[in-house]
Amino acid sequence: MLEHFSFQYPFTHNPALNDISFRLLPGKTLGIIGPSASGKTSLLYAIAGILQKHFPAGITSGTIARDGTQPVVNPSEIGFVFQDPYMQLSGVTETVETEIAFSLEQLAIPQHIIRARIDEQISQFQLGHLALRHPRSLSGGETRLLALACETAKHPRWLLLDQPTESLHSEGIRFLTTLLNALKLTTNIIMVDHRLEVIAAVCGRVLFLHHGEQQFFGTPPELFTSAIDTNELDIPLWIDAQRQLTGRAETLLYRKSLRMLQQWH
Amino acid sequence: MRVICVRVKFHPIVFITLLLFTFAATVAGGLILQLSLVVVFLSFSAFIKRRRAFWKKMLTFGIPLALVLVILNDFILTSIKPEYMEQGVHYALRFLTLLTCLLTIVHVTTPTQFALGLRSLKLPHRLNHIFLLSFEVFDSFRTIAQNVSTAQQLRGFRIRKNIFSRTKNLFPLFFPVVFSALSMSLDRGIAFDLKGIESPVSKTYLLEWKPTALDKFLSAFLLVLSFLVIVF
Amino acid sequence: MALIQFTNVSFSYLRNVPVLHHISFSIEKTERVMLVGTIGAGKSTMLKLAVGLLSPDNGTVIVDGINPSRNPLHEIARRIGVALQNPSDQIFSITVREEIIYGLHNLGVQETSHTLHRIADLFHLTDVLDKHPYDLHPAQRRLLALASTIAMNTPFCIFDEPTSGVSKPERKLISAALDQQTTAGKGYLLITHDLAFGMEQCDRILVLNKGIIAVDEAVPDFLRRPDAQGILKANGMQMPIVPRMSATLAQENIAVLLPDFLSQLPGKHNENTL
Repeated sequence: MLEHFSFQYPFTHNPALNDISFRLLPGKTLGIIGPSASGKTSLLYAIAGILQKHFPAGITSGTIARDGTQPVVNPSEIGFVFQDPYMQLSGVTETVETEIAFSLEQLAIPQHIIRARIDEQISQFQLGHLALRHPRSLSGGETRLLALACETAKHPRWLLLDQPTESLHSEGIRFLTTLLNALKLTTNIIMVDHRLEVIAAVCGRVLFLHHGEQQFFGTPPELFTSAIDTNELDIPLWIDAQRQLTGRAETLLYRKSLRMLQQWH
Repeated sequence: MRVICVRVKFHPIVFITLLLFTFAATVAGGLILQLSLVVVFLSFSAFIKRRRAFWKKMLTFGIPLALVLVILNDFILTSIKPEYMEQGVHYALRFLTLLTCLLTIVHVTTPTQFALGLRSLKLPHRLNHIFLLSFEVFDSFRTIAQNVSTAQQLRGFRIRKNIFSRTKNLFPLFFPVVFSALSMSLDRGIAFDLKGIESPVSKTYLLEWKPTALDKFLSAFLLVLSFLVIVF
Repeated sequence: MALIQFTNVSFSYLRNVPVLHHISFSIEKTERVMLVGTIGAGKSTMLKLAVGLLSPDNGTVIVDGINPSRNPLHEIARRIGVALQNPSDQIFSITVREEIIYGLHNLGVQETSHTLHRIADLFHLTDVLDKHPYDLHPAQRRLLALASTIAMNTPFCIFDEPTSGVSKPERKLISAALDQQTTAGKGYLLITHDLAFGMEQCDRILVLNKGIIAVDEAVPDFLRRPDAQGILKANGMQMPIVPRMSATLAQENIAVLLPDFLSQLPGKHNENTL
């Protein structure tokens, strides 16, 4: 869906994205990884159509297509969760419930369906105890879940997530992983994250960006076994341990690799 | 589905007509009318808030502003004579009345309530959002200002106690606050875009709030009153 | 005398909803302490109490001999440096350079260029010194917030979530900076979700659970406890990977760093001799 796609922000000297090409098959989940400032968020913006709409002075080359056409910002089709979830709150609602309703109201969804969606999101994200709290009174992790709930309430075709596990505890990360695995059955998910164990657990494909250039595109196991330089990535440590011992990753599973390490001589 | 509590009994239309009335009264009314309006609004706000902080804020901002108005008035009219002084006091009071009226309204409603009210008046939703976002901008300005001020003090910046140094200390705050609010506004714009604020279809609403008979009566009464004030 | 001393401190935002119950602990000037706990356990409340943004309902908080809630913030600022959780909240200068030396100017230090360059080098910010802080990417902004706190050269620092949202290269920089603090004889308190980073960098662990201190122990002692994983799990956290693997393989010294773990594997010696 991307072919030799490059993009340079206005007033900058280097392209933020440089010659990126990949094709994501329907139903496959994509994880975008890479060190800071490697163009991950810009790529998400490009897929959402935000770059083309909000940075029209940027220099674009190559082609990009979502569902076969040039991406446009279509709120009913795209759910987008920003890295800073506080920024995403509408700021004009007083409860978690009405916050979830906000974008549905904008999309003119009938009232009874809005109510059904709110109940659905609240049970799915286990926000029941927070339903009547003020959105600004929530903690960082709770706000992140709320931002995600607001976006999935639209039942989007595409869900784009920018660092969804940041500021979550391991318990929250586990909850989110299960949730994303359930969501990916009905939605196309593209996520950016530092935590490779989450990417490996959720995504069928990984794209590794470095300074805006595509270093790798393939499945998570291929990434861990490939010879590319992954020094700047947070490789799960049980995989790193295997690689340091044997030079390659035999297995991606924690238990299996532990057994392997135990028997290693 | 749980019921969402609405704290204020009056519909925003009442407040809008109240503002109109206050405006009419301050422009046309005499000194006594204005003085009594200030007292009424101040005591009403204080009754609702029951907070010392509110009074402090009123005094820190309201009185210097009023004084400035008096002095400016005197300067413009060059020679200081008793009747000009009185006129200056008059201007100051007008300003104070409007300020207290606005503050009272802001205190007794929340953005959501205002939004609900405006929706039921069938105003274009774009107007609604402009209104709501400006509420929101003030709110985020306040939060940012608070955070930045704390951070500055945590890095050894001294905040002095008296009012004049306080006003002086507002200047170093100003730049970061405005700048970060601006830099946030692009991202916020994108976020709102993705929430579908620009979609042209007519919106649906989860909650609705229609003006009651009392609301209608009160606003009509205030309208008539402001008309009378202007005429006489 | 301890630098930070909480004695029997209780606090609640709303009546009947206590956030902290009768907490007592003390931290010495040179200690490296991590404070962990789930969302809502009272970590940020504790930070606010320590710098005097809040005052306790009960008990006393003493920081370097003074009561923080009775003293202005800038008095605390010369005793403890604080890096807040959200870097955007505490960056307010027009250039990175000014941001780093802001605190020093307030403390009345005239000669700042040496510190500036040392700190900028440490955090790899030398190339962006004249940029506007908002032109930096989020991870760099985090580094800048930490840099400007460390630049104040206070005897002790508190860092709230220093590693949130950063990737491996930045983590290495932060850990090097913390090591330098230790070499200079300075201590710090990390409030963190990132247990792996905390355990690498700290000697002592405080676990806060629903307003009480559930664990206050040296990190190696805590790791040696058979119920360590259970305690963390009960607090909604998970043992980091390396200590978990190390414990499962029943290694003699529970490793925190991967090389330590690998060197204790049974076959490792063979490889070295080969």
